[in-house]
Amino acid sequence: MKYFCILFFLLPWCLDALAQKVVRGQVVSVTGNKPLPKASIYLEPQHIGIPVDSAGRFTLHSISPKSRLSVSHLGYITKSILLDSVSDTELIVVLEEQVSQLEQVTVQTGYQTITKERATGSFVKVDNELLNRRVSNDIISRLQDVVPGLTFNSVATPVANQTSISIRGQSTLSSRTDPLIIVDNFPFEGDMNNINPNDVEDITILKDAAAASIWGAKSGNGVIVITTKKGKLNSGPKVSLNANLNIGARPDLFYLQTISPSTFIDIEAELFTKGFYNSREASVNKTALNPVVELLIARRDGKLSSEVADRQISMLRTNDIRKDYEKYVYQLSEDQQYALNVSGGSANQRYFISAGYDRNMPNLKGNMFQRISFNANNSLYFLSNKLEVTTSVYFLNSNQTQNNNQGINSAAYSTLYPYAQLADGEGKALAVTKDFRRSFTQLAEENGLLDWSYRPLDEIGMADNSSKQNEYRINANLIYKVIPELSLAAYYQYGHNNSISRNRQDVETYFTRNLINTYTIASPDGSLQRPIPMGDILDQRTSITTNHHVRAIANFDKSWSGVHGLNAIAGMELSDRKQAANGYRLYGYDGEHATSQMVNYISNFTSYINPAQTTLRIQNNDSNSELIDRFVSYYTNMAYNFRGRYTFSASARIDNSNLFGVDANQRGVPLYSLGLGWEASREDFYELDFLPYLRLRLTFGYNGNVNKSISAYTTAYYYGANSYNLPYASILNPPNPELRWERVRVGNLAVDFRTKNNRIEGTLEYYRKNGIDLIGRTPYAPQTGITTFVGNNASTKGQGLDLSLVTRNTVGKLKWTSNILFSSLNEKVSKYGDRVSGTTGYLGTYSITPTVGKPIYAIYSFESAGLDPINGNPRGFLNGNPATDYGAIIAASNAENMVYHGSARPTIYGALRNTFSVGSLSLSANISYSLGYYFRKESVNFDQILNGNGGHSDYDLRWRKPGDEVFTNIPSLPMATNASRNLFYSNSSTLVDKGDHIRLRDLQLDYVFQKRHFPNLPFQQIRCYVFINNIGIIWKATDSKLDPDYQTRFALPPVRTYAFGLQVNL
Amino acid sequence: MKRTIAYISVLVLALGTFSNCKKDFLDAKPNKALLVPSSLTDFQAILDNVTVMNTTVGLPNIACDDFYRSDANLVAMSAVVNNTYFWRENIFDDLSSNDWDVPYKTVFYANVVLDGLALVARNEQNSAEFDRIKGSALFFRSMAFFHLSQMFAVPFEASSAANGFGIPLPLNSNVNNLLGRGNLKQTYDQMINDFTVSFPLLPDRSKSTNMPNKCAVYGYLARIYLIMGNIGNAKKYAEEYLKITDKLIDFNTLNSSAARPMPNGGVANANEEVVFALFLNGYAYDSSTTTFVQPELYQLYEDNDLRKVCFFADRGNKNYTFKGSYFASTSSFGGIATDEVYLIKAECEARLGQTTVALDYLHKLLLTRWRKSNAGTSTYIKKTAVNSTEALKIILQERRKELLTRGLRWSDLRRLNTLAGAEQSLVRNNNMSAYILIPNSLRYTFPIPLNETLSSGIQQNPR
Repeated sequence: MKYFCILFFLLPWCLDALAQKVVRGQVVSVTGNKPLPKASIYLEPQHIGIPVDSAGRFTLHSISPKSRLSVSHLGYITKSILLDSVSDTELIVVLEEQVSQLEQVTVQTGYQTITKERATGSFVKVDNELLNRRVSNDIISRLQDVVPGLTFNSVATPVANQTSISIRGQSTLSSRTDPLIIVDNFPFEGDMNNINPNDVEDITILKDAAAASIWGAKSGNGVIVITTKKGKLNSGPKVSLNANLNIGARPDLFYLQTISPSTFIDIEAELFTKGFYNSREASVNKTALNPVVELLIARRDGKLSSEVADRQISMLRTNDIRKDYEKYVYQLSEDQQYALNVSGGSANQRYFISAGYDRNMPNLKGNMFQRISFNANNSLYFLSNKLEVTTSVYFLNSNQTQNNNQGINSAAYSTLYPYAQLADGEGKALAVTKDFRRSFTQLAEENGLLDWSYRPLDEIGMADNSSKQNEYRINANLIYKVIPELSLAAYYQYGHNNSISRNRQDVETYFTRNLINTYTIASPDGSLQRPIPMGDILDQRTSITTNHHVRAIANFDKSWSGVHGLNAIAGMELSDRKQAANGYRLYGYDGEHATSQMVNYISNFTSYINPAQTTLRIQNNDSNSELIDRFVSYYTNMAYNFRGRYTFSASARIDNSNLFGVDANQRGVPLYSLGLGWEASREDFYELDFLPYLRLRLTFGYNGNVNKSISAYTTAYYYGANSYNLPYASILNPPNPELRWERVRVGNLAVDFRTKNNRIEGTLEYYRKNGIDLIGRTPYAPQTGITTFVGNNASTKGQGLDLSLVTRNTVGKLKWTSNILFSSLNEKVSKYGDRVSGTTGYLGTYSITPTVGKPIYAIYSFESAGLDPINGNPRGFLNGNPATDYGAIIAASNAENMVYHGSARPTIYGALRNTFSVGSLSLSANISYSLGYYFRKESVNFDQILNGNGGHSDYDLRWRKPGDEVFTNIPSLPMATNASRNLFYSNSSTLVDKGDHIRLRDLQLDYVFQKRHFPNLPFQQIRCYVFINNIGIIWKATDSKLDPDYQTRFALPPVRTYAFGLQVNL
Repeated sequence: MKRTIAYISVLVLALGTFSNCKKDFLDAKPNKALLVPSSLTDFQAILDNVTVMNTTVGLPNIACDDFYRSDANLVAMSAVVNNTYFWRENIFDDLSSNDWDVPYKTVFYANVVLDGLALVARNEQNSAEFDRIKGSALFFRSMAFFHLSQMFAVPFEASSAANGFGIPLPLNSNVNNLLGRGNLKQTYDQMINDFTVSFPLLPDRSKSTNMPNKCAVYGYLARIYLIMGNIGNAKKYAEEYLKITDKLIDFNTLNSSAARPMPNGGVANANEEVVFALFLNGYAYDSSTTTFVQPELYQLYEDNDLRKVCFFADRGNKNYTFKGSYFASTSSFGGIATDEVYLIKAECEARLGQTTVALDYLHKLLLTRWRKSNAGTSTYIKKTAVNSTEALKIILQERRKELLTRGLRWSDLRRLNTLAGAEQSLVRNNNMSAYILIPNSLRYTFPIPLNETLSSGIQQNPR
């Protein structure tokens, strides 16, 4: 590895040759013969840099007659001079200024670069400037609000290594929903944080079949092609430095509406009077009781005078855990990012080298993320530029510290009572009640058990929980031009990722102390035995992923007298991805000597807490897994162009994989696409002066999607022993030789247009996107031995519009440009055999609720009949009449008779970005909107209230007496817990509301200092920028105080961040 | 251009070479944790899944005339039990039924094993195990077909077997193949064929009663031939069986006052009569403390007949419940046991006119069922008959008394209905009204659950 790197860097400079002649010269500009001292001159092919003095002069000694000079300068056209033709003495190199012209937009498919004007498919290009508008440490978030049809979904729990993005909806029910991400020619399936956004040149989004079907079985959710930065031929070394600081506000912990600590105490007091805690007092599990309850017990038992008890309780009323949290658990977030890169090239070599460093301190104190990345790529051209050899190395090291697991969405927070006090006046951590009654733990501690108290703030300090990743990717590409029209290429990538997550729970942490204590055996003589040894508990998990990608490709490109043009590629590709993971737990770990102690996993132990519990086992956390993902694919793509006006394209791909089983591979049905493009504005009869550019595109084809959760093979599971003491097996998955990948059939009709002087430019696309052969569950004929079949038997239908418009509203001194994105999407399940099990299956917000004719994610509710005026009970309908038999209402409900509100995901969405610029100053603001969807509001859970666990502040607004139903929808407090009543109310139609809203996403301000305006500037250019993200909601349809997209403590709205940055180009 | 062609040829050649090793490359298991049954051990483990392989239909016990429940007690039973009890037109209100699903699951598991065996090489080292597993899978498949046929196919009549509806007969594990019902002849041919193929592959007896063996096959063949009216073959296989084992439990050795006096045939080989254990789907019917044996049946047990105390628990008010399951539990036993084979042998002899031999075999069985005097002599007096018809009548009555709750009574009723003079009507009383099942009623064939007919479109049984 080491030698490889050295070789890599030395290669370009080893090509020196002997020289012979002397030449003196000067570089001047064509206008005014101005000397150009910043010109870069290279002697080619040796590629020797020649120094230029302040007057643009240079001298060359001993040159070979076949050498050439390559003279370049920013803003000028590069000139190449053959030294053979130079007589001697003075050589004046006159450089012509570059006339800015409309650059042809090219898009990347991951297989080839094509000009957008010749493409038939739906491509969206996000260029470097737009990518750099936002500040973030990941690349994916920079696609937000800049790509029509691309949305970021709210998901309950994000899937590891997935983005929760969807492009034009989700044409699948149970398979992968994430777009395929391509980084430098090959699929990238790792952690998206492992791509430094500063290394990304641009991104192309492939949306329809013609664009994406070249990626075959993995392209069904669209494809995101990320192209990293490369050096340019014939350009001097360019150095660029980017540094920024991104400060995030503290999250608003009062955002969530919960009852006040004082109300909480009132409820506890009332429950106490009712005797609710009597059983808990006698609990065999010594269940903890909150301080107020303990005080009330002490008062009742006469251990505390009622005066003292009341005084202490009223003191507790003044506490609010959220205040302590803001002070001790949360902080301002602070992300720093530094990136440096150097790039350049000569006539037959180009290179790009970069280094990046990120350091993020998130809102939760004690957590941190650090990332170091290096990237170097180098291309060499041999055999009169017929052979191109590119090698690149990408290395990344990241380190995430997760010491603070006390956040407001954590399990630890959920067990805390709202009047808990985390620290005393001096900031010293205080113990709070947890798990067991103090009277029990006190006695245990007196008997020699470990301290059993829980101090949340100390936990943060003692934690030692981190995960590290080392990742590298090595690419080697060979491209050989056989003849000018035909090139053959081979690409290879080796990727390696090594992740280690390590959680050492110190013997001083509550987790470890509690575990040791729970298993402690106290002998009658008072001696203690500890089956879980004293010492730390270390959980470590290692995962190694390796992948090989190999591609062979032939590329043919020829134009016949400008009339016919043909571009075709064909080739094969092989990929092999292995993921091996293992994990273990060590007990009695001693970090200093890296030793651990053995434990007995087999025997049963008796709980110290509840001696009746005699079957405790010591948890064995050892695990091992190995996954193999292999593909062999064949693909072809061709585009034929006639007179520059008509384009016909076709592509096909066959994927064979180890996932589907032999039969599916043998059938080898290709996923294909066809496309037509017509540039109407080039026709002779075209006469619309106001619309100088008009192009129509029409495509049709198939994309695929992979589901790794089911197998074509019969799979079984072994069980211990049957009644004859014999091991036996159950069949989990019937053989399904007909299993195949899901397909998405996409039709796309598009218009590209540009008005005169480019004042308005845009693309309007209409698409139909039908998921077919989707993996779904369906009831099945039991004669086969199975009653529910999971196979390719569901489908979805979708259609939508994507509009993107650029309007250049003013073009004078003040430039005002608007970028308008509009997408609408109507997607429904069109075939699904099985019913979602039970009524409650339809009540999830983030889970799929497949019902024919309805969206995949839909909001259903129980129809509310208002509150019962007599007792404030929520009422539903049973057989058409208002009813309060909740069990019966729930049992009688199904997808047909529940209220269907609409989609749970936006059906209309987009953004409006206005950019104002005067000279070097520009200001832009992004407004995004999401419309046509519904959400379920959180409200009070009375069971939780009645169990003394607090809840939503709607409690304060509840029905209390007849007549209240006029102004409140919130039911009365029931006499006893009633799970069905709760389920009914929390999913009743009163709590469903429109999610439609418009938000001001961000603001960006930047100012560029150019050398040509500030001659004293030591750099070519400095760009200063400010970026403010997550500014706030401008309008929302609901009158709920909360953000429709962020309704629970598990999904607090992202905090507002302020970023300041500098980008310097040398 | 020539060079271009040369380059392309090289590329094509390289691709060609690659595709040879492609198969191995793509054969890798995507997840190592995935257990794809492929070894003989795996197949044996699948066949040892007792809850799938050794479980079959249970409703015939409810439809037959051995037990009854009072009106009040019926309310507590599920709709399926009530529908079956009164032989209603619709039985399976909730679309599906374990009595259809479970035996077909047995068939599916057996087919998975048979398909899997096709990919395992049989050699000298593994031949014994290979054969036993193959024979076992064939056995289980036919066994499941047999029990399905007794519920869902029309009663067998040789004359019309080519016309009557059989049952779907899946012979491989591809769940994409949906089959029609075929005819009755195909169903019986398939069972007989598979059983005949399986017995040379199986050992005489197996180490535990959940595993198939020659005796079990002979038992089933004797049952099937008896139902088909092929007395010669039924007798032949009963004799083959008895050559291997003819041991009976002496009821004098049992503790008749125990809650479950029978030795458990569901563990190892505790019950020497049981050669193959088969659980009948439970509907909490036979085992209920309020499902009583029909008084006229109970009356048939004489006082010295130990079955009277070993089989029945006194629930007061002259109500008796069954406690004599060969599983020594609330589960009903439907497998093959030696007592049944004695009765088949006796019946065959009687039908062939061999009155003496027939009664000899009955005698051998009943000697073990009756109380012995203190001197060790049996209180049983050998039954006599003036002719084979009378002998047959005695034998059939003893058959009913010996084999109740075994799921066989329903098959017997179907069979006897087709024989002149043996048919009988069944009557249920409820809320002062009587429900009658007349001989050869269409209701002797259960309807096929709706989830099957809706999914595969196979024809429903007329009721």
